[in-house]
Amino acid sequence: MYQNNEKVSTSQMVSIFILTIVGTGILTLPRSLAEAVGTDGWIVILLGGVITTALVYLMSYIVKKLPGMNFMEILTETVTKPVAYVLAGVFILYSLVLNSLLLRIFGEVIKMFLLLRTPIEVIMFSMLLTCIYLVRRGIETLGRLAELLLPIIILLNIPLFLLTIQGTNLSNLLPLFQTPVLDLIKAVPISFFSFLGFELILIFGVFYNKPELAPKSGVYTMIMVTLFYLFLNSMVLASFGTYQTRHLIWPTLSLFKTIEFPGLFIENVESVVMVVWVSIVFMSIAPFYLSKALLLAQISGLRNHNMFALPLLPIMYFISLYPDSMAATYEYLDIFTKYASTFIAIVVPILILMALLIRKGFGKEGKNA
Amino acid sequence: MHKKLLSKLIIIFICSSILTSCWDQVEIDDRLFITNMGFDKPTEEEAQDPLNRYKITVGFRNQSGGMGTDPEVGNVTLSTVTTDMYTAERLLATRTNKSLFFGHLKVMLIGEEVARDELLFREVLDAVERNPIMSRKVSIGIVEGPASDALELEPKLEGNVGMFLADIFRRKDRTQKAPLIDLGEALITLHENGSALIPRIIPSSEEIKVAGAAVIKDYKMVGWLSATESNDITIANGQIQFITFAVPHMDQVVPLTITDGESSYEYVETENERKMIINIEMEGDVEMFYLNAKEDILDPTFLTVIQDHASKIIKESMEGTVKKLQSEFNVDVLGFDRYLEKYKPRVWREIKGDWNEIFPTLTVEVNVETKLRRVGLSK
Repeated sequence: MYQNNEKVSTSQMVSIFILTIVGTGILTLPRSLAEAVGTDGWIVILLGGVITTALVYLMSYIVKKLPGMNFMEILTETVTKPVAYVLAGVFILYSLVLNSLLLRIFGEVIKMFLLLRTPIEVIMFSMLLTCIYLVRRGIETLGRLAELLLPIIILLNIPLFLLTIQGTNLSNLLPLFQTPVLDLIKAVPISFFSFLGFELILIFGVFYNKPELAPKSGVYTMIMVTLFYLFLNSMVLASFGTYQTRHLIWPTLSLFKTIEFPGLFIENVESVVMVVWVSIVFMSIAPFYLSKALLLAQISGLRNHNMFALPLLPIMYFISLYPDSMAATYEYLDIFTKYASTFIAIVVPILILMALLIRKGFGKEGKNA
Repeated sequence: MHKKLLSKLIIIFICSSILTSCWDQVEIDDRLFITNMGFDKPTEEEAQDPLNRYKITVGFRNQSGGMGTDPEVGNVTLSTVTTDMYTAERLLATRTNKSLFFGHLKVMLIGEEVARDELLFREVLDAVERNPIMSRKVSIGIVEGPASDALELEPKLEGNVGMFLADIFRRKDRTQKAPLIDLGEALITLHENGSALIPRIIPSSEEIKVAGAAVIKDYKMVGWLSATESNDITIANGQIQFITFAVPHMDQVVPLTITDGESSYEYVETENERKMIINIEMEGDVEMFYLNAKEDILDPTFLTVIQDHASKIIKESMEGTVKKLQSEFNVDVLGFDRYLEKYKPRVWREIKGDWNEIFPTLTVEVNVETKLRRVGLSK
C-alpha cells in the first residue's frame, strides 16, 4: 500500500534536485574556475548552466512523454531490452563510483575540520548507515526531508554570507572578458560537473505526481542552482581574489573562516558551516544511493527496492577507501566524471530522445498507411 | 491534547540528551587557549643542532586555583626550540598539564630574523594557512628584535599581549601608523606577488607599540618603513580615516584631522614614459588655532591657504615614499600591478613579465586635494 503511494510533489522534487546538485560542486568549484579562467568564471558557470538546463529540459521532456514509466521501462520502450540492461548496468556502476568518491571527500573534510581523531572509516560508515535508513524509506521520505532541509539550509546560509560581506572587495571581480573564447569553452566541463546530479531526473521521473510539470520545474531548479553558483563564485573571488582562491583546496569553507564579529562570540563559525554542509552532502549522497537501489529493483523486476539498500553498503565502502589520499580521490573523480558523466548525462538522454522521435516517425507512417 | 504535548516534550528531551555529547573528552578548563605565538631563530649555541630551526614562543592566559579559593588568572609564556610549529606543539604538550588549543589564536608575531629568512618565513605562513583550526583573522606583526621579547611583556592596560594587540588591530579606524592587516589579507597579497606590508611591532622595556611596517619582497623582509611612510601607503590604498597632522602657517601650526577621503589610480602611457597618477581627495576638520586669532578662520580664502598647504605636505611625503619604494626596495606594495591587471588588462598582459624592471622606472604623479569642512566651535 505504501509502495503504491510513492509520489512526490513538484516542490519536493525541486528541493531534492537543488540539494543533490549543489552538494557535488559547492566545495571546489570556485577554485577550479579561478585556476582555469581567473575572473571570468561567471561566464563558464552561465555556459554550464545553459547546457545543463537544456539537458534537464530534454530529460524531463522524456519523463513527460512517457509518464508513469520507470527508467527500465523507458529504456526498454525506446532502445530495446538488451541495450536497456546494459545502460542500466552502466548507470548503476557510474552512480556507485561517483557516490563513493563523494563519500570519501565527505569523510576527509569532516576529519580535517571536526573529528580530528576519529577514524575516517567510522565517519563514512555512519554516513552510509544514515543513508540506508533514508533509502529504505523511499522517495517520499527523501522528498519530505529535502523540503524540510532546504529552507533551514537557506536560513542558516543567509547570515553566514552576510557576515562575509565585510571582507569583500568587489574590484576583485575585474577584469571581465579577458579569457580567450577557446579557454572558456575548455573550462565548461568544470562547471558542467558541478551541476551533476540532474541525471537522476530520468530515474526519479516516475515519481512525479504531475509529470506534465516536470520540464518547467526542472528548468526552474537549474536556474536557481546556476544563480547560487554565480553568487558563491563572486563571493569567494571578492573575498580572496583569484590568486588566493587558486591556493585554497576548499575555498568555500575558507570563506567562512574569514568571519569575525565584534564580541568574539561568533568567531570560528565552522561548526555552523559544517551543520549546513553535512546536511547538503547527505542530501547529495542519499539520492544517488536511492537511485541505485531503485534501478537494481527494476532490473530484477522486484517491486520493492528495500532489500538492495544494505548489500550496496560494503561495495561503496570499499570503493571509497580505494584512493590512497585526498589528492588521489580528486584525481579519480576528475577522470571519472570526464568520461562516465558525459556518457550518462549527455549520450543516454539523447539516445532515448532519438529513439522516441524515430518511433514517433514510424507511428505516423503506420497511421498514414 | 495534553498527552500530545507531553509526548512531544519527552521526544525533544530524549533527542537532546541522547544526541548531544562530548566532542573530545577535554573539559573547557583543561584547555589552554593559546592567544599569542611568536617565531624566532634560536641562539647560535642552540642552532648547532641543525634540527633547531626556530624558537617558538606561545602565550596564554591561565586560570589556576578555584575549588573554594579565589581563582588566579595569570599570563604564561612558554618557549621551545625545535624544527617547526607542529613539533613545537607536541613538545610543549609534554610541559603542560592541559591540552593546547590554537583555535582562538589572536596574534602571531614573527621575529625580524625569521622574516628576513625566506624559507623560514614561508614555512611559518604556510603552516598557518594550511591549518584548519586557526582563523585567517589572526593579527600578524613583525617584531623589531626577537618576537619573544614582545610576547613576554605585560602591557599595563591589558595583561595579555595577544589580546592587547588584537584590540589595537581591531580598531583600525583609530590609528594610521601601521598597515593593520590580518593574516588572511597578508596571505592574499603574498599569493598575488610575493610582496606585502606587515605592521611593525616595537617592544620597549614596559610598553609595546605598533607603528610602521616591514616591507616584504619575494617572501622575505627587505626593510622597514617608518610610521609616516606606511601612512602614505595606506592613504594611497584608499584607507583614509582619522589621520592627524599639523600644517605650519606663519608662526603657527594648524592641526588637521582627515575624516574621510578617496584615492584612485590612473595610468597614462606616452611614447617615452609610463606614468601612474595617484589622485587623492581628502576632507577633514581644523582642530585648533590660537585664541583671538588675527586671521578669520571662517574666511574661505584663509581655509584655502591651509588646504593647499595640507595637500602639499601629503603630496611631498607621498612622493618621497613612492620614490623609496621604487628605488630602494623595488617593491610594489601600492597595488599598481593589481590596478593594471583589473582596469587595464591589455597593458598588463604586455608588461607583466617585465614588471620588476618597469616598476622602478614609472613616473608617479601625486595629486592631492584637501577640503576642510569644519572648524570647531569658536570663530
